[in-house]
Amino acid sequence: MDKRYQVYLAILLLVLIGSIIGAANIGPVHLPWSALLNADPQDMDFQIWTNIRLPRILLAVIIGIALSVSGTVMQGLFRNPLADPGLLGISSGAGLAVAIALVIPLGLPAFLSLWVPVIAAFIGSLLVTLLIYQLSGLTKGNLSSLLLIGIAINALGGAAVGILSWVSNDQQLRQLSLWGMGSLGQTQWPLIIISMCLIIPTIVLIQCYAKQLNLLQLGEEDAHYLGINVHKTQRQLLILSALLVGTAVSISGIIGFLGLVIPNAMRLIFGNNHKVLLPASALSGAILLLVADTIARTMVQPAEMPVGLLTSLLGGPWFFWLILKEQWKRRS
Amino acid sequence: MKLAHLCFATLSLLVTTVSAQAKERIISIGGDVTEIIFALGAQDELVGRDTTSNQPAAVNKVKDIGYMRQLNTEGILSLKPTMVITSDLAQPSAVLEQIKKVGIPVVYVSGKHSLQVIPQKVETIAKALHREKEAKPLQDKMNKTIAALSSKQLPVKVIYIMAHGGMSNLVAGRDTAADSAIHDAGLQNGMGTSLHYQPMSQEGIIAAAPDIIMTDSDAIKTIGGADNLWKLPGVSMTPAGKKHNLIVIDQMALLGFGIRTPDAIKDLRAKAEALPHG
Amino acid sequence: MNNQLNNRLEGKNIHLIKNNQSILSDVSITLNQGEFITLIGPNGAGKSSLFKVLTGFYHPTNGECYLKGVKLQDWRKKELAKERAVMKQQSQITFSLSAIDIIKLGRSPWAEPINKAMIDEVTEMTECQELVNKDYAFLSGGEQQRIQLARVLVQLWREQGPSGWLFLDEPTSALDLYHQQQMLRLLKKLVQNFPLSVCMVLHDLNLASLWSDQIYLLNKGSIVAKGNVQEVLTEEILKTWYGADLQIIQHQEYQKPYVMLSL
Repeated sequence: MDKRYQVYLAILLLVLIGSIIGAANIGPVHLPWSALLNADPQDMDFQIWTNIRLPRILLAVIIGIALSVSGTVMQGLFRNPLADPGLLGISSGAGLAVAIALVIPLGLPAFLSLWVPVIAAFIGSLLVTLLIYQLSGLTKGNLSSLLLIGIAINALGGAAVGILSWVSNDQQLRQLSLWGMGSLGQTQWPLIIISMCLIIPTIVLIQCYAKQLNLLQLGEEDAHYLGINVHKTQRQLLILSALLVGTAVSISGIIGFLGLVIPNAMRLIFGNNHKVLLPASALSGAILLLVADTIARTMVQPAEMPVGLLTSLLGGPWFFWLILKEQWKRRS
Repeated sequence: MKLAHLCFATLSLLVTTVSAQAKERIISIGGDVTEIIFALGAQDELVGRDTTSNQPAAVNKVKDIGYMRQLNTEGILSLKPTMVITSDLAQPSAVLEQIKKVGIPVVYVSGKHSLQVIPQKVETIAKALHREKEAKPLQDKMNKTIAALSSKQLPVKVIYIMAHGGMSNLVAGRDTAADSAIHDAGLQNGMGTSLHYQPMSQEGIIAAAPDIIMTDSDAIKTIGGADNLWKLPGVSMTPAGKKHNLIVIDQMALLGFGIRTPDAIKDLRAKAEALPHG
Repeated sequence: MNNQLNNRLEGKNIHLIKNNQSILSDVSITLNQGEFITLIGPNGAGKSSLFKVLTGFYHPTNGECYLKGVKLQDWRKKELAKERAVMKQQSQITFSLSAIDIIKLGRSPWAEPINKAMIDEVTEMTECQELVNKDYAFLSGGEQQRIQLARVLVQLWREQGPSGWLFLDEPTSALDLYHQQQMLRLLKKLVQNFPLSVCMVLHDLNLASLWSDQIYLLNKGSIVAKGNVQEVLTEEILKTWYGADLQIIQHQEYQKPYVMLSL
C-alpha cells in the first residue's frame, strides 16, 4: 500500500476518533465526563450516557460504515459509479415489509410494536436478498440482468407501498414517511449488539475480498484468466453487501446518499484500489453519518431533524467540490 | 455560627417542601393533552410541548420538542422534565421507552376519536397532576354538554374537505376524527363508505351528494376563499354547492377531541340545523 | 510420452454451439512450448471463440482441452492462471487504476509477495517505464496494449522468465509500426529462450508471416489450413478463404511469403 494512503487513512481514523469525542461532548443535555467515570447506576447523567448518548454514537458509526462499504462493493461489483445499496431493491423490499407491518393490524402487544418495523425490515431485506441470490444463479451471474431485476423490484415495491399508504390512516402514513427519511433514534442496546454482530464480521470478510474486487475491475473475462471464480465471487460479495444494507435499513430506516457519494468521493481521493478504498469508505462513512446525526439531534433541540436530510446537505456540496476539483485537474 | 446553620437548614427545608408540593416539570405531547393541561391551570408547569400543540395561543411560548413521531430523547431530557404526558398516538416510540428507562414517568392518554373518551382524558391527566379538584367542574360541564347533545339523527349528509396545498384536496372517510365528529353531531358522513382521508374525486363528490360542506379556515385559505370552493370540480353540482351550504370549523376544537370538542359538536349541530336542506 | 504431454496444450475435436448456432466444429489444435503460433482467418471465423475455449473461459459443447495432459476444467483456477495468460483485444476499465497497479494485478494468482526487481525487468522489456505511474484510463490504445502485455508477462513469470501459454488477441491492433516490431521481436525472443508458447490472433498476414512458426487458418468455425508459413500463406489458399484479390511475393531477405493486395 502506498505510504501516502496509509497517512491519509491514519488521518481519517484520527478524525473519526475526534468526531466521536466531539459528538460525546455535544448534546441537548450537559453531561459531565465524571458522571460516566463514576458509573453510578442511580445517577441520571450516567443513565443518559450509557443508555442514550453513547449507544447513539456507536450506532451512527456502524451504520455509516455499513452503508458506505456496501455502496463501495456494489459499485465495484457492477463497475458502475451510479450503483448504490438501493439499486438491487433491498431497501424497497425492507420498506414494503415495514409498510405491510404498519398498515395491517397484527394485534401485537405494545412493547413488541416497537420492534415491528425493525423485524419487518430485516425480513423484507432478507427475502429480497435471497431472491437476488436465486436469480443471480439463474442468470448465471449476468449482472446487467440483475440490475434490471433490481429496477423491477424497486418499481413493484414502490407501487405496493403506494397502495398500502393509500389505505393507511394518518398516523401510519406519517410513521411510514418518517421511516423513509431515516433516523438513528432507535438506540436500544439489544439492537445495537445484534447489528454489530452482523456488520463487523461482514466488513472484515469484505475486506478480504479487496483483491478480488480489484481483479473484477478488469472485467469478468480478465478476472477469470487471473484465476478467480468470477460468478461465485460476485454472488458472495452481493450477499455480503446485501446483508450490510439489510441490517442498516432495519435499524435506521432509509438513509440515502451515503452509499452513493462516500465511495465516489473516496475514489477521487484514494483511487480505485479496493484495499485502500474499502477502509477509507468505512471511516469516512462513519464520520459523515456521525457528524450529520450529531447535528440532527442538537441543531433544533429539543426537537430533532431527519438525519437523511443532513447527510445530503453536508455531503452534497463537498462531493460537488471534489468533482469540480477533479475536472480542473484533468483540464490542466 | 450555629444559628446561621440552623437558619440555613430551615430555609432549605422550606424551599424543598414548597418546590415538591408545587412544581412538576411537564412535557406535553398531543394538542388535546396540552389543552387539557391548560384547562386544569397547570400551564406554569409545562416546560415542553410537541408541534401539534398550538392551542391556546399562550402555548407557543413553551419550547417545541418537534413532531410526536420524531422525538429527540436527549432534547426532551435537556428540559429536565419530571413527567411526560402524551397522547397514545405517539406510540410506539423508542424515545418514550428510553425516557421511561431513565426514570421519568410517562403518562399515556387515549388517542381515540370519541366523545366519551374526553372526560377520561381529563381524568387521567388530572390524576397525574394531582388536580382532581380543578378537573371536577370541567368534567361536570363537559358531561352536561355531551348529555344535552341531541340524539336525534338528522338525515343530512356532510363531507369534510381538507386542503393543505399539494396535488389534490382530501375528503374524510371512515375512521377519521372528522367522521366521528360528524356522527357525534347526529349527522351523516357523505363519504362514510371510503376509508381514511382520500383524494377528492369529481364524480365521487357528486355521487356522495352532500347537503353541507364542512371545512376549516386553513383550507379556505388554501383554496383561495369560499367563492373558489364552489368552483371546485364537482362541488357545484352537489346539493351543498347549489345552496352554498358551508360550515367553517375550528379544526383543533372539533377534531382534536379535547375539552373544546363537546361545545364544537354542539355548535356544528346547531349550524347544520340552521342551514336550508332537504 | 509423458514429457511430451507435459509441454503442450491441445484442443481435441472441439465443437462449440452458442445460441443454437455452431461456432466451432471439430477443431483440433496443439500448442507446444517453444512455439509461436498464429490464428488467422476472415471476420467471424471463430478465432476469438477458439481462444476462449482454449483458455478455459468457454466449455466446449463437445471435445476437450488438455493442458499438460489434464483437462482444462480439472485445473484449479489459480494454478491454471499461473500456466496460461490471456491478453484481450481491449480491456475497458470503469474505475481506473494506475498502470503499475494493473501490471501488478497480473501477479495475483501467486501467493508470494511481489518481486519488485521482476516488475522492473518486465516494464523495461515492454518499454513501459514512462507509463507506470500514469492513470490507465488516460493512456492511448497502444499504450494500454503495452501495459497489458507487461501484465500478462508478469502473470507467467518464473525465476528467469515467462513460462507457460500466452494467448494474445490482436495485440498489435493499436500499436505503431515501431511498437508492433518491438512487441513481436520480444515475444519471439521469449519463445526461443523460455518454455513459453505464444498463440495469437493476427489480422496482418505479413506480421504473421515474419514471426510465426505455425499458422492455423480458420473459416466458419473449422480449421481449413495449417502448417508453416510457406504452407499456409499461398495465393490459392488465401484467395479461396478470404475471397480477396491478392498476390504473394517472397520477402527478399528472409524467404518468407509477403502478401500484397491488388488494386
